[in-house]
Amino acid sequence: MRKLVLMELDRVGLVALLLLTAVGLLMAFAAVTGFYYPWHDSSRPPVGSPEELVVVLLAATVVVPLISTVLGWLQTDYDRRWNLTAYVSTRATTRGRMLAARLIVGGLIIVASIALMVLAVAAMFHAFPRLLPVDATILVAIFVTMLAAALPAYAAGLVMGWSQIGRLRILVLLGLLLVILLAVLMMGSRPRAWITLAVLAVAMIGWLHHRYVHQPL
Amino acid sequence: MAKIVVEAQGLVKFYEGRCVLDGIDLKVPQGCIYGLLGRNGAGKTTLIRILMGQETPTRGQALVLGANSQRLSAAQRGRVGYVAEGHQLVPSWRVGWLVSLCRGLAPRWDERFFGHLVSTFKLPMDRKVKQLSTGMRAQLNLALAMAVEPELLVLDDPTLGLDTAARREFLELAIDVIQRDGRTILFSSHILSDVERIADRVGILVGGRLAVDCPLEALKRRVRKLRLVFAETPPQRLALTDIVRQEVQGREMLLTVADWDEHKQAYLETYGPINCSVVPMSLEDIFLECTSRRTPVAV
Repeated sequence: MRKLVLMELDRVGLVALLLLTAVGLLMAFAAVTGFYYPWHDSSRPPVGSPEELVVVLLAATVVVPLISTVLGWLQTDYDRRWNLTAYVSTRATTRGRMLAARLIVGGLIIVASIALMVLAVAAMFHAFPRLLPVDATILVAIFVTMLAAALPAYAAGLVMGWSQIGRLRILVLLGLLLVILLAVLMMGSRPRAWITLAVLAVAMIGWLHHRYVHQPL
Repeated sequence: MAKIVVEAQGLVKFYEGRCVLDGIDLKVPQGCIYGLLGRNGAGKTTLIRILMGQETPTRGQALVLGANSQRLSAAQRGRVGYVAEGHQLVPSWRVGWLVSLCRGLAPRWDERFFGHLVSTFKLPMDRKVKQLSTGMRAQLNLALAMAVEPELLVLDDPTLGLDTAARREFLELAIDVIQRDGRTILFSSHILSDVERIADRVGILVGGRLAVDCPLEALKRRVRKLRLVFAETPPQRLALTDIVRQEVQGREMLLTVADWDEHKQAYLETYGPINCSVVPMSLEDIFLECTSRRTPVAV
């Protein structure tokens, strides 16, 4: 399994990690600079409002799932185009293990990127507690929602990459992504939304597993 | 009784309504070198792909090392070496990385043997697979398949695209593997002289059916081509079973018969040929006789 995980990392992991980390840092930076323009001068009154930080993070809740879709798509599209599974599955491994390694790598990249954003915001809170009077529970809810939305979006990307690319399929999957985002908007950052998104992710991964394991190569 | 390493039980495969495999029953015992022959589209690659779990049968099942080929565990796969048709590797990878991955996945890896093969073939570790020639890809593929010390080596037309020297090297390697105890090889090839040289059992697929499945020597013994000369016009129909091919030219008849024995010989003599001689047949001749017929005779 270690070798398979390394194989996945070697292919798309580094690019994806860089991509998602860049987004994470950008969002954190945008949150900091957008929230308090003269944030280094604590004597001046704040020019922004706590809602601005929330708005920036909500934007990240849309961007991170979209990038997660690209990550998933990259992983399986590369595989399909270069017959990776067709060759590696003839060695001492199984397709189930290969998919598990892929999900581990993809999941870790998403979690690591969100964790980086959490760290950036937490560091900001620690440094400027007086200037950031935002309720921490709201931020926690946003980050959990971001993760919950990123997982089904990632699974959708995996499915999209493994299937033959057709315009109709892309439209269907983009529609699915829209549903994910709408679900977040309508349900809000609540456990009910997280559970719905988690169920959606599990369903898509289950479907992909069936296709991936049984499809002729 | 030798252990059965590969077994197909009533394998049927349909592709878009077309029957590619039509009830294949096959047993390959341990230590056997099984040559699978057939014309293009006869179903050789499909059969091998089902055995390797890359294709699902429509009906029937295939057993490899005693396990269902569709549900082989990683450990069971580690006991099988496989060289796919066209030497499909991962073109975008460097040779070194591909080797490292295969080594890392394999439960057993003969580094000395692999190193020997790499130096013999002069395989460059720093180049990408897609930058290798067809011959080099074939050699790399073969080296990777053999380094895992496989109990079963499955080769799907492995010498396709190789020049004569590379083919000779491959055959020598295959013989090297054969000499190791208990190894079984199942291979398909279009080059019948190669099959004749190393196989001890052959199967001939004709239109998705296994028309021939017997030891090579028995095949050569059982399929007989006779040149019969008659005093007058030869009889139009011979009341003889297992006629693979019958050709009449003037007073001469060329007759290929399966399951040849003394009873058939005695019966044939009742037609009164003035001369009857045996035409020597190579495997290629037998193959052509068996596959050119519309309704193949099982041998």
